[in-house]
Amino acid sequence: MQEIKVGIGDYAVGKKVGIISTYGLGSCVGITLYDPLKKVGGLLHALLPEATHYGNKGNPAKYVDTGLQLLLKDFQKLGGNPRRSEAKIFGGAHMFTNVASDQLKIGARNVETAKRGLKRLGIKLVAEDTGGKGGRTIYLDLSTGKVRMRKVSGGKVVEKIY
Amino acid sequence: MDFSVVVAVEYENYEEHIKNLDEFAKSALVETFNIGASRAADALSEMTGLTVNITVPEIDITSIKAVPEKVGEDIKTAVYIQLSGGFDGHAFFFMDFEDALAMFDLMTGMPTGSTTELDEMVQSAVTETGNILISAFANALSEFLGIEINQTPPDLAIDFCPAILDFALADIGQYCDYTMLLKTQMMVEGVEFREHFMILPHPISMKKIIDTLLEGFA
Repeated sequence: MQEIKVGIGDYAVGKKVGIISTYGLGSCVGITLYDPLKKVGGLLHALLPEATHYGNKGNPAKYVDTGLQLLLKDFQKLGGNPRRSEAKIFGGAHMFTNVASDQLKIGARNVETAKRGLKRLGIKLVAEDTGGKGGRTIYLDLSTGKVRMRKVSGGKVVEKIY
Repeated sequence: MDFSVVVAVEYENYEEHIKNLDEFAKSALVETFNIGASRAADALSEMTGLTVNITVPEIDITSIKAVPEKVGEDIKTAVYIQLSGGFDGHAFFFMDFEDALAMFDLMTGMPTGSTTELDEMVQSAVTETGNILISAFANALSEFLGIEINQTPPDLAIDFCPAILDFALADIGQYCDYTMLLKTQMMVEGVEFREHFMILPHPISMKKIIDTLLEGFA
């Protein structure tokens, strides 16, 4: 099956067939959109919360807010309708307890920004697996809109479907 | 072993600076980091009584976007220490599962294969190993460059490799879309370990270090 791999600060959209995946979300967030009627799906892997906070520097897809706009644009080009769509959020972990600076507690801020952004765009959030200590890998199935998530728990990989 | 340091620099300059580093600057950096790596090897060798050799073969400058593909999705144990002061960066010591077990056997003088589980004993041995390596590296760098380097206590995670690096990339991503990855090769008793140190230096520190080094050569 065709698999599109999304890097960090990157996004992809697709229709009806194949998988869009992203590996090793730590403090990053992965946001998936899916329009069940048109079977259009999209995935964003964002590194940082708001673009303006960082002076809009560099690649706009690395920020949650500007990344969502880019994702939505391509999603609509394929016929996806935001009002009909379902969003899911993954990631936003805080891996190391010795990282104390608020500046680097980026995970929680990424998740908050993602929720605010979706709300502003009128897209309903139907599932999330966020926070905690561990990383996540996600696979969006474009034929069903289901997201398979892999997570490490006690040194072993566990899987869950959202 | 793999030692990764992530470095970040002021955006406009940094991105151009890091992408256009000439061979001379790169080799000066490689030399400098090799001083740290060899000191780290000595420290581990002293602790374990084993022959340890660590080198930094090259500096890799890569787009943050490509990091997950580059490091792979494997699950690793990682010790993390944050460096600050004269050198801001993120230092990781990565170890494969089996290698962590094998190293524990080596350290405790048991036949290879005796340890089968990554229990608390093994985890604390890995943490201590990472701590010794990163501290020795940081101290060598501090002496060589004449700067003070502060370190946080070590912390351990067992997770997907890119997820472990994520927040360090977020730190660097504030300044630019590229990062520098310093990877090391490590041999223990002539056996190559897949483990490595990774240092992701902060762009501003990186630029400072390059300037200091090049001044020294001029």
